[in-house]
Amino acid sequence: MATREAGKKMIMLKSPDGMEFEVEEAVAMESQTIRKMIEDDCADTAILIPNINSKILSRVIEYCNKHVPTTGATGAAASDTVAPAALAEDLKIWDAEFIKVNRATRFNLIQAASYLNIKGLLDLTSQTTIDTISDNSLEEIRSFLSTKNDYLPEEEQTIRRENQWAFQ
Amino acid sequence: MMPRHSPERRRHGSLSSPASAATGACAPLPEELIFDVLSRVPVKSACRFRCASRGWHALISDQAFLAAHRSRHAEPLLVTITSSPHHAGGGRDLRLMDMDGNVVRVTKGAGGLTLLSTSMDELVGVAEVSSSRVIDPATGEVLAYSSPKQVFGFYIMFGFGRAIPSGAYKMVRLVNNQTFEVFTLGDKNTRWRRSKLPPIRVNGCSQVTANGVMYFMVSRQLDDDGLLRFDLESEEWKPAIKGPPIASSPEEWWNDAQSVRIAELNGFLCVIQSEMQASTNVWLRADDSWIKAYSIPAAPSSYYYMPLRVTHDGGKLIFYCFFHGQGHLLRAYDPATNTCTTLRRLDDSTEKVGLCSLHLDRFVLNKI
Repeated sequence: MATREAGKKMIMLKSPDGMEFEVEEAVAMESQTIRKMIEDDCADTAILIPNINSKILSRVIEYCNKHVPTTGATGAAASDTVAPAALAEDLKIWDAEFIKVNRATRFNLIQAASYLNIKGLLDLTSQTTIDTISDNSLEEIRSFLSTKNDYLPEEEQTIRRENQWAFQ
Repeated sequence: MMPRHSPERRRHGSLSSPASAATGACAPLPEELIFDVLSRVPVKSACRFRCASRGWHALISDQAFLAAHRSRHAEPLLVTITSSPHHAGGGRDLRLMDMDGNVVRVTKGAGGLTLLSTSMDELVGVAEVSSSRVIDPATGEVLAYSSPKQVFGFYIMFGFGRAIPSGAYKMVRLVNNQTFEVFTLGDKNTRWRRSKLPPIRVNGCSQVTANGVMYFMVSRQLDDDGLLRFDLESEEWKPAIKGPPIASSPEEWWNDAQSVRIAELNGFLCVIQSEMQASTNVWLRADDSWIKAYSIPAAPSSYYYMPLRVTHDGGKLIFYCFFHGQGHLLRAYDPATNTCTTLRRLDDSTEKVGLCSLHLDRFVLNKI
């Protein structure tokens, strides 16, 4: 591992608003989309990430940095001395802090996670979103996830009656 | 948070509460991500969300969505029978909960003395002293009911399970070791049919169905072909099998120092052997042999260990037990550390605990 430490391969990621981010290849490859580009040799100089602005991209990189399998900043020894359970617990706490963002940022992160195919980040952002709203009123959920109540009043009454138990 | 400040805050989209959404402060999620987000909601919320809009109603009834939801919520639901304060004369309710303890649905009066169904069943079978019924836990509807037999001084034993490969649910009843009958759910001719009697007398034993075969433990001397087998598809008795090599003496049974039961665990037949003040051993039947899969150390003042589920990563065993002074507990045993942790305390009115393989499709499509 030590030899790889010395010669870490770096990758340049570019956001559409012109910012460039130099990241370790291993970190960038947390994204299955980028991994595929690298493996297909489509990533010689810099990879342009469309539709993801620099603010969101930097958050995504932050996430990948934290979640890349060890030998990271804390050194290779970390995984030997710290119990896996403790590491997982530490990540959980970090994730909980990471996701404390407003709705717009969260939606952007969901879209970025989906486009870049980062399963852990998509799970985190989608699940947190649903956990925050699943107990809210229908009205609040409609506006939060932008679906319009297009039922006729009598239709809505019927459908509500059928699902009455779920409102209790 | 003064009202006059809110328009500006909305313009910047800086509120994260749902209230800000009405202003359209941020672009909505594309459809495929709405699909992703909604496929993560628990069953109960999903049913409520169907009332949000026509689009969501169509989405949440769609086969692809139901399959995605099923794969995300693969774990069975907890089913408990609880004594009900609402009924005079000891009525019992049936409670559905997710593994986190959130109540999904309560069906009043649908409980019974014993829970016959297993974690592989979508339906719940319960038995009283001389009657039994099958309940659809998604709707609370009673799908089949066998009325009490007039059998004073007689002994009735019920069994329930799913035949393989047809998938038909069948109920059996053995009355006083004199008649053995089978009832197929959903048959046009919904009658009890006489079937062959078990090869030997069955008295007060434990019974369970695993993988299409109904097992009856007829003797605590398990190494002596102690497990009868009734194949639910062919409705034939198969040669009995031996239980795991458990060393015990009749003296131990008489003073209850040891108890042996059969149960189902993740689809497998298992034998649960509890040694008072020592440990509870869980033997799994796989590839025609017995494997001692778990040995849970006994905690002081704890009784009736009932394994429920091996977690999906295979790491831990979730079980139910009763703790004197603490009540009904769901606990997890970690073989890596040989320790148990309490997941949650169940309601004090809990009488029986089991699992049910219930998914959103059953709530949404209503019928099998």
